[in-house]
Amino acid sequence: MQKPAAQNGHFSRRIALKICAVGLFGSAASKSFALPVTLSAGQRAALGNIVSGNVTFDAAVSLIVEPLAETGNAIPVRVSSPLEIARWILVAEKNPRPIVFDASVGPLAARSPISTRIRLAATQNVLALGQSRSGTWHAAQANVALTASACYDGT
Amino acid sequence: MTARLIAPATVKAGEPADVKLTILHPMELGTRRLDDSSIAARNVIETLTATFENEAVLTLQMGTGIAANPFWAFTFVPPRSGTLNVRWRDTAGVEGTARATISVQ
Repeated sequence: MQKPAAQNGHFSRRIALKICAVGLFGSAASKSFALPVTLSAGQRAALGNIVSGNVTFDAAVSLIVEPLAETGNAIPVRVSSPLEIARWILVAEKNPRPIVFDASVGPLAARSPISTRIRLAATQNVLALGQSRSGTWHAAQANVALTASACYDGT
Repeated sequence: MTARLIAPATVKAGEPADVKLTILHPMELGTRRLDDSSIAARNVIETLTATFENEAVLTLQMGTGIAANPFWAFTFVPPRSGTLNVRWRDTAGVEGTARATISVQ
């Protein structure tokens, strides 16, 4: 059996089985991937003018989220970085309000990981953006598959 | 609003304090139909600020994308002993606060 990729979480046996069930993607699916990716049109639209300049997908930002969730009502996410981060933004482009949270981080918490529980309206990529103290944006993205969505609307 | 803020009573100088916060709040989406067929008004916590002795720790803007009964976990390095103050405000204008005293040794 593969070892779950997330080091921080206390993965239950059920989650470990889910990860195995994903099979083809293996444990890599539960973490941000390091492929050369760019922001999608939906993500660009959601971000508007908030993010200017280039966004680099690299190991400077890490996003940990389950690859498969039973419902979209409360999905644990965790963002962290070895850099000092001044601002975090989490984007779920298929949500009715795609900016999940926008966090300004004071110097006292510059190296803090941030965990919360989010809602997702559909299977989609979750994008984490972290702005370093020097102003450059780093990003990580992970796909979350839902078997049922949060009850956002009639769908 | 009921909330629980968990922070260590003491930390070593220069080391981060783990903070966990849970707020009892429905984070109402504005789409849920009530028994009398009216729709529950959207009501979510929109802003939350955490300060330590008047120094900003974390300022959050959030909305319907956060699950009901919001949970947040973060760390910060207290420069000296003091009080962590957390305040939040929802769409209806209701404010809530929580505080924790941390002693640096």
